[in-house]
Amino acid sequence: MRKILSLLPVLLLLTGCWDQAMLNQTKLITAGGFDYTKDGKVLTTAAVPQSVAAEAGQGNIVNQIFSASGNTARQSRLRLDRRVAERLDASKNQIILFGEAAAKKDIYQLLDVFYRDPKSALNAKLAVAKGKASDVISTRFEEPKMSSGVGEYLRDSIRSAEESATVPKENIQTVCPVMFDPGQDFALPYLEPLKKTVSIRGVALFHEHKMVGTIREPLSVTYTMLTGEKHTIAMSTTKKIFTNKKPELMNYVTFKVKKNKRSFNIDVTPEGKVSAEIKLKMKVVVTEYPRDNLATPGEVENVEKRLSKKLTKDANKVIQKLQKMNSDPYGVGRHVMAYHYPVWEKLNWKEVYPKIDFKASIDVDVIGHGIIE
Amino acid sequence: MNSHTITHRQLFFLIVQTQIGVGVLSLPFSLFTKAKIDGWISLIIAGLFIQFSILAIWKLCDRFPHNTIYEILPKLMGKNLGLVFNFIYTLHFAFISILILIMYNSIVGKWILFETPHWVIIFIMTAVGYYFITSSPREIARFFVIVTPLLIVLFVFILYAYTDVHLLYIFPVGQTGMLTIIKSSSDAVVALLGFDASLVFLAYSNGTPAKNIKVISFASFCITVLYAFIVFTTYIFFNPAEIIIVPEPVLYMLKAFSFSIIERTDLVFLSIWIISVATSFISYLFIAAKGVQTLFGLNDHQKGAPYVAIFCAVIAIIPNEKLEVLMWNKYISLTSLIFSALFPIVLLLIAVLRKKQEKGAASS
Amino acid sequence: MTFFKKPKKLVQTKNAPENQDSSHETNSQDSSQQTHSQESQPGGVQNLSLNEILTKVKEPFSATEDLLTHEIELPSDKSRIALLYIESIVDKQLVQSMILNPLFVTDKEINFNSFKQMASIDLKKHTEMKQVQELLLQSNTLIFTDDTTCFYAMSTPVKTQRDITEPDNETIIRGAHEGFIENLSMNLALVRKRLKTPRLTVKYLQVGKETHTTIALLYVDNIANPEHVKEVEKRIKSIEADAVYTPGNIEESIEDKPFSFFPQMLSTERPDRVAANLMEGRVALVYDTSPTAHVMPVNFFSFYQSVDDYNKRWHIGSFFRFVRIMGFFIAMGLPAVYIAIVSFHFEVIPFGLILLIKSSLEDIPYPPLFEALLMELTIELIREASIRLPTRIGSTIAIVGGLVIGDAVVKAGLVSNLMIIVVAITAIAAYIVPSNEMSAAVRILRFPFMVAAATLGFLGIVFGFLILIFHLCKLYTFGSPYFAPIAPLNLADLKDAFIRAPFWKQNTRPKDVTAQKVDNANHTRKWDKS
Repeated sequence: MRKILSLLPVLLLLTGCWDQAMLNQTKLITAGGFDYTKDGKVLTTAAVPQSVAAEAGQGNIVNQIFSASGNTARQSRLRLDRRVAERLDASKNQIILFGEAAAKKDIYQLLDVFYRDPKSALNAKLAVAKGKASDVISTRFEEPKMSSGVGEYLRDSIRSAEESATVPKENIQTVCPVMFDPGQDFALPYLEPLKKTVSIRGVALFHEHKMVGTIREPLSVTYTMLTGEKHTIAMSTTKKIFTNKKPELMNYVTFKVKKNKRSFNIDVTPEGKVSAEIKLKMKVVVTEYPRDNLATPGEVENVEKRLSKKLTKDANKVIQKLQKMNSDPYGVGRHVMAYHYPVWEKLNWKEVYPKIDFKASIDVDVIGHGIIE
Repeated sequence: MNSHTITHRQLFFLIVQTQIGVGVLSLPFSLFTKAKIDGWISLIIAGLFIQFSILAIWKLCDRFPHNTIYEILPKLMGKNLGLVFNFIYTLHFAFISILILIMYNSIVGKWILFETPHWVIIFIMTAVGYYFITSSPREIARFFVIVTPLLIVLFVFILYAYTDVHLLYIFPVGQTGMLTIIKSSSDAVVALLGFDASLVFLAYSNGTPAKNIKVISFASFCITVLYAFIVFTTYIFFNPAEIIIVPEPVLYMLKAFSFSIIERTDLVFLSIWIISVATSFISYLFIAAKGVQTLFGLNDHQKGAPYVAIFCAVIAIIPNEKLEVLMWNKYISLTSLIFSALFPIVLLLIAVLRKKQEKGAASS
Repeated sequence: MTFFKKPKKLVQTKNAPENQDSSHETNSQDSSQQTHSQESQPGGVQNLSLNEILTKVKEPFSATEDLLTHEIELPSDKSRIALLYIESIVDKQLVQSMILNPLFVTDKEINFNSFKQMASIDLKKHTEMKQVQELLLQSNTLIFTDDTTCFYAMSTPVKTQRDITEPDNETIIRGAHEGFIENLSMNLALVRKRLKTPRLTVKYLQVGKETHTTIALLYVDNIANPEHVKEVEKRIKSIEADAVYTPGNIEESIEDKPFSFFPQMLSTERPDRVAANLMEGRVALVYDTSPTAHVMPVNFFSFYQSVDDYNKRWHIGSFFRFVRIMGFFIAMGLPAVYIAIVSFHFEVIPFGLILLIKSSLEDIPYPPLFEALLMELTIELIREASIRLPTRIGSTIAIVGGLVIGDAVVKAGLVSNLMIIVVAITAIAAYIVPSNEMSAAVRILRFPFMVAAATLGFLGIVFGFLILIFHLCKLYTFGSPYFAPIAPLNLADLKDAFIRAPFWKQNTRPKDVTAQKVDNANHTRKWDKS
């Protein structure tokens, strides 16, 4: 009995390999885009890099662009599959783009496929494209190296924007909990295709599942600062702090954020009036200051004061915009819900949020100025 | 039996490895469906509750040193009733093994091997389980000790989730009400099952009773803490509205992580998790085989082992729909709660009331 | 040969005084059929004449022509003595100088008794007729005198041993460059040289009814567990075979699990390795006619220890020990993991790499499993070929194998670049094991892993490792656990398993050996304390 039993596993070898998915027999999607056609169908566009030369590492990568439409995202994907000789695989997808029109409808419906599929790449970036997503994906970009495809190019562009704090860091998964949260919203990078490149224009703000507006760069940096992002590799921005200097260039200062501390205060009065305030304490390094006289403490203080004032103004502008759009990416609602649950239950947050008293103040502390004064 | 004894340290690892099993992946979800975001409190309550069961099991086994539950039952209830209960317990443990197989199969089928026939996935686990239980508890315990460091790897993976958590999701604490929280802790008890393996393995331990109870209790404590950590992490990683649609939150969470040398950490996590599942399965299969040995009066458990293994594999193949799996899960969880967590307390009461005690128990 | 099965009656009848020519000639042809055992001889030397004795002694030897008899009449007292030896294994010069010269050449009148006294160290007196055969076969020259109640033996072995050289398969950078040779007494000398303790015990055992292979069982009396010694001795004594040729025969006869892939005894040609193991409380078998010695009981990690480790600085030794153990997992698992990844879970490859891998795989017609099997087998072929060939042609093989196959097979599009890399790393990893046997085991075991990976992906590998590790947990060698410092876990013993702790830290013997003395009294840095 034991002998026979121990031989049984050998039988397995005869049966074969059911789940084999050969790498060389799949086409890897690196970028996907969603648009709606005029008759309301989902149009999926996918970019598949294909190497043409046999020698590894030296092969040229050619982007193949496929697109298909269907009633749902999945249906269009299946149709896409049928157009391609080998199996299409989205597990290495780098970016998903939504056409602006599609983003304004509902992005969760389109993303459902990605959440449901065990093989999908949850770390793919999300972005909204001005115009149509399919246009962005099928642009022949100048910059992509010969060895990378459009997906990689777009992802890298977004990544560098993240590093300069122009856009917040988000991917399919990080957006998901926020999308479900009644007390918080999110923002995605907003791309604009130029002729041969793509430019990151700022952030697209969402409310629930829908896009409700944009904040353009450089204001989007202030937006990212307000999220409490500690500091990124190059969170820097240029601000005009004087108005009277000539030439015009002398009015500006550029700084890099070294430390960013956020305190978020939510006050709820017994009557249920909500007020919120974001206070940022930033430690910055001046990286450009053509006036070159940061030697005296007085001058440094002056710069600090002016910067703080300017940034606070910007921050309040951002908040105003957000309230107008009814987008709550800083999670004021979440705070109310967490600490003042009984109040939250009574409020209709959607209607209350645009009217709450929401302020921001930024306090700048210059801690360095490069190697010259 | 002398050559098969295990040390109390090995007992610790036996219990730890038996406790960590299928539960890890779906526990946050199953707790959430009942207790909402306060599920982690339920878990801690359950952790406290099982300490009582553990105490009862230990007291019971202490009255009959070096006896497994199968030897205790006839002594406690008389020969015939004891036989009936032996049968029930054997079946119970066999069904826990089956439940482990079913859950393992459904998760593997859902996450990595989509096309592979179910019988293959189940069969391969059973074959491995069979190979393991043909040896003595000592070797099994040694193996369990070796694989325990892998838990640290799992822990580190989960720790990575803290790069993107929303601590506010856990608030307001106690939103669901104390009663619901306590009620749903029964679900948590099921996930913490594994301490019941001490009903059999205590008999093999050569540690002093005081050391034994410390070890089992500490093992369960560790697992409770680990589980609470996992549940807590998933609750602050996912939005409460999101968990409802994610039955395996831990895996889902890991799926989103990628490192520069490896992406899709969930696949690595699953591979390591399978070892944890295998260890629980092996423990229960061993216990079931021990039961068969007692029932049929066999010389050693190896003789009954292949039949137990085949029995479990065949039964485990039956449910193949998701809803069926859930139903099996529900019923077997219920019986587990009764026989593993509650019944030992009853047995102890019987033993105390009828003053049943093995001679020399006090001295040992 | 049916040594024992001949009925004793036959022996008796043939023993009848059949007077033979007792000069230099050997036995007559008709006695070639006879096969006797010494057991059939009566216990002591009987009161027979010298001629009769000689006939009887020669009887068990068939018509071998190298068994020579010299009959001499001593000039002094005219007594007759007879020299008996096997020509081929006896150094005749030695016979001449040690026996004949003293008897004849000296001026003095000499008789046998005075000779006896002169050569009393080398000359041993025997009374048991049983031993004749054995002594003759062990290169002794036997001297029979008129006094037929006893005979004398003098060891006159022919010196055919090679020089002591460093074993090719266990070369080290620093440390002694001595290796065992094909001579038992020399081998023992090499060990004794290192362990000058009266407690080093040597037990001679003989196996093989016909071959009489001599084995020396070595252990340190006050350290080794007597149970182990007894067990090894018992197992060796139980070997019943006409011929035992190689240490491999012995190994297979006495190991615990003959079906396991893993070597259960450490075979080494290094006396320093044997000596160190003996001092850890292990038992060693040293063979005549073979430079290989076996050490037992051993654990898995013994195979990963090299003498070199102990001659390096301990951090470096530890690092290389660790590298070797990583090598075990790489050699075992890398091809399997590669197969599993490219044919099941390519999602785990980071994006930056995947296009590279994909483009290298793009035009390969075969599934990865086949690719891997092809390359692994090729490597084994090259290895096997280069062992069998003389060194000069061996380098040709290396060129053909390495360049032609490695490069051409990729260019031809049969195998991908990456597979070549994987196979090469695997091969290197397999060969870093200091023990040849373990390396072979690892190389064989990777094949089932590859098949498992190609069937079930990661799941297959995980189950493969479960079974492998549990097999190691279940394995015992001579009653001590094979996977020892890990299963059962013994934190203190890990100091010489995964790493090589400094000498002054290694102050206990490994627990799995169950030595009599656990403390090895290593307090080498006492000067530092004060």
